[in-house]
Amino acid sequence: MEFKGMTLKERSAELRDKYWEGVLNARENGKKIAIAGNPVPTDFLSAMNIEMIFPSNISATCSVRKVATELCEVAHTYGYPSYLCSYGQTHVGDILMGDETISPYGKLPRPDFIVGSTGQDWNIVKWYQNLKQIYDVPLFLIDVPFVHDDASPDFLASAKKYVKEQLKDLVRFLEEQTDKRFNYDRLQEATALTKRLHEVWRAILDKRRNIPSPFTFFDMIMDYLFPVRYMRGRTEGIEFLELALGEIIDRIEQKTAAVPGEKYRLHWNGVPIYFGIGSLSKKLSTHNAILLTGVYELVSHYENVNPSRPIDTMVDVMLGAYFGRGTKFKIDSLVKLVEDYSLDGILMQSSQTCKAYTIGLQDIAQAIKEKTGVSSLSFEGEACDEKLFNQDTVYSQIDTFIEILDKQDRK
Amino acid sequence: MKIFNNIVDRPYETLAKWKEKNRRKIIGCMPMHVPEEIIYASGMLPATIMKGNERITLADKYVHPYVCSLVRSKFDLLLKGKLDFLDGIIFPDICDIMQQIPDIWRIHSPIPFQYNLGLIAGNLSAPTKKNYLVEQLTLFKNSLEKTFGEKITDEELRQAITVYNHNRSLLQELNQLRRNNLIQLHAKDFVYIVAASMLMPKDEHNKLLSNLLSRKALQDVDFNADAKVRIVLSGNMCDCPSTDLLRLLDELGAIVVDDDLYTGSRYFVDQVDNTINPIDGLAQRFINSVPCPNKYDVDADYADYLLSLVKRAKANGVIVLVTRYCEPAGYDYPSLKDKLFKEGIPQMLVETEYIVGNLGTIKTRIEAFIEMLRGVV
Repeated sequence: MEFKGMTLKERSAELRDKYWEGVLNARENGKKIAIAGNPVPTDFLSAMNIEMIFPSNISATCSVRKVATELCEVAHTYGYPSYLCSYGQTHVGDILMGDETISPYGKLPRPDFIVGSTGQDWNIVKWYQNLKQIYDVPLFLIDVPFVHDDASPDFLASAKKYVKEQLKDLVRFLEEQTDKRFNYDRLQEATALTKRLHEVWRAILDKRRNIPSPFTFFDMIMDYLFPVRYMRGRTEGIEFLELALGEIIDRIEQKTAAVPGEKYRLHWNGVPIYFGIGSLSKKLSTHNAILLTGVYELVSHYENVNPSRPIDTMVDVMLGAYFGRGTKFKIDSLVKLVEDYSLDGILMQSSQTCKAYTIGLQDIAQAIKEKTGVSSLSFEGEACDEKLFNQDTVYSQIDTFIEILDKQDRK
Repeated sequence: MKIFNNIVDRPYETLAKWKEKNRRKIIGCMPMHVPEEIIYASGMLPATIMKGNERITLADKYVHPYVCSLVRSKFDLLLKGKLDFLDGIIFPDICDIMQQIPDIWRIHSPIPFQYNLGLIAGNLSAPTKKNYLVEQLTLFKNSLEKTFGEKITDEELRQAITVYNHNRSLLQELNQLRRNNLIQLHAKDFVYIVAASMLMPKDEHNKLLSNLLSRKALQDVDFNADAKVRIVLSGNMCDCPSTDLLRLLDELGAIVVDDDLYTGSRYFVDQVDNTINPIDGLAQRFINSVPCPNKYDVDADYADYLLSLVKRAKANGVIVLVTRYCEPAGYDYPSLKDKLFKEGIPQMLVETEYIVGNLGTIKTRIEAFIEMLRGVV
């Protein structure tokens, strides 16, 4: 891609435009369009030259542009209660509005089929089942078993075999849908590119160990995250992130802090409040607090795929996903994050529209406090529906939390 | 009915006494889809964990108020020591709550044996899915054997399946009688008969139910079915519907002629094929079982199934019961609403928490709904 002379924001926009252009021109270019969930092994779809629409991207973007609340209301009229996954509500509301949609993406192209996956939560299956009914297209669902803390070796062996067999079934499904033989060479190439993309991504994330950090979690989700989630198996994202990594290294050398006077380094445990990112960022800056880490780095570790064994290694990545693991695993992951990034506090967000990310937070917060001395703030957040978020209450809670951190001795 | 009422109204006291008297172990099963036959074959009693009938107090410290109130209630019972008599507890993969709660449960639970039962989701007709489910049921059986030291033979499994299939047949017979206006049952009675089956040894329930079916007392030639409004109750409440609501239907002159409830037809409508390997048979039953919001079969059409049930029962209307914050039910409702509307079948949605108590505004809405249906009838 041609990024020369562009700022980060300009490059980011260029990347997203390139991706979306590919989707809009798919049929003209003889390509199929799939709705692809997260986490779906997109390298398999890339291998068959399939363009992908990611509902989570659609919904998050609608929320950033502050149109998601209205789309959720359309979903309520349809018959959805307000406490369903608000990504799902936003996306379905968007589809139902059709030509009249207020989404910045405009009317979504009709997919040829849908590929979904559990591994983050189960109720996503219901959302995708609804999409199948709305569009009347085939749906292939990869069921990734939940790995509890007490999972036995026999269970793990059974679960691995199950996911592997489903990936083979996915290959057959894609062959049927595209009427082409599966391109294993292309799968290897896509896997190698995904691996490289995520290696650069991890190198970027690592730079936050620097005190002060050269970038915030907000920078991460607004600028760096897009190709990591939505352009795997391609080259453009790698170029984009390599440029970004260079700039980040420069900032460290110049001792440029993302938040001048950085004092409190925080983790955000929950789906971001996309419609309130700007103001939350400013709010935290007033306290010299930096939102440093978040859930996206905890989920799938695609840097662990191996192009010479793409199926087997993808099985391991899918079964290892953070939200498909038990509470002890989550606690250990968060403790490691606290230690690696010298975190001072955790914003432990619960949400009535995201129960999979909410259950157990009380016990998790307590365990982290016992193991690291780091405190958590429990608060109610929300990804898309502004009516479910009380900014005044949450901001007041943040003020109090920072006062507590100020008084505490840290380990 | 007295025995059934006693068990369902006071499940934990009754079970604890049963355990003491019979010196047998009890394995608690969280709803739904646990293959109880495997537990029954081992000589232990599988008992469905029902909600409590008291205010939730302790659970709110660990679980948010918008987590399924049925689960919160059960967690509250655990924290209060009301489930200490259980020798084990099974958590089936039926929703996000059931997947996420076991690890938290374990932190606070003294129950010695806890098992997470993997079920399947997706395109359930694929051989891959059945193979995995058979493996999971086998692992479950092995785990029971290892923990409790009793081998579970195929023959014992077949015998358990025979007893369970007989129970299903008897409940099916009872359901058919009410659907065809050949008996009059209070709405609550039918739910309690099914729920009691979940809380007592199946062979004993079979005896009581056979006795009930053979008694002429069930048949009331004066009950004038034609004057009643025929209702189908639908919902996956993972528990009994509110008894206040069920009594209200009786008072308003409505009869429940069929249902799609967990403590209803969904518990008994599917038999296990006992001519094949028993574990295979149990897996196949799950795969073939009627559509259910908590059975993640992406190729099934739950609304179509409910529609056919409603038409067969010649119902005038449907009351859809949803536990507040239940996501699977929430996702299925629009399609249900749409299909019933297109067929001209009136429906109303009743959303409840686990204890309804005073029905409040729900009472007014149900009264209006039944009156509207009566006008049409």
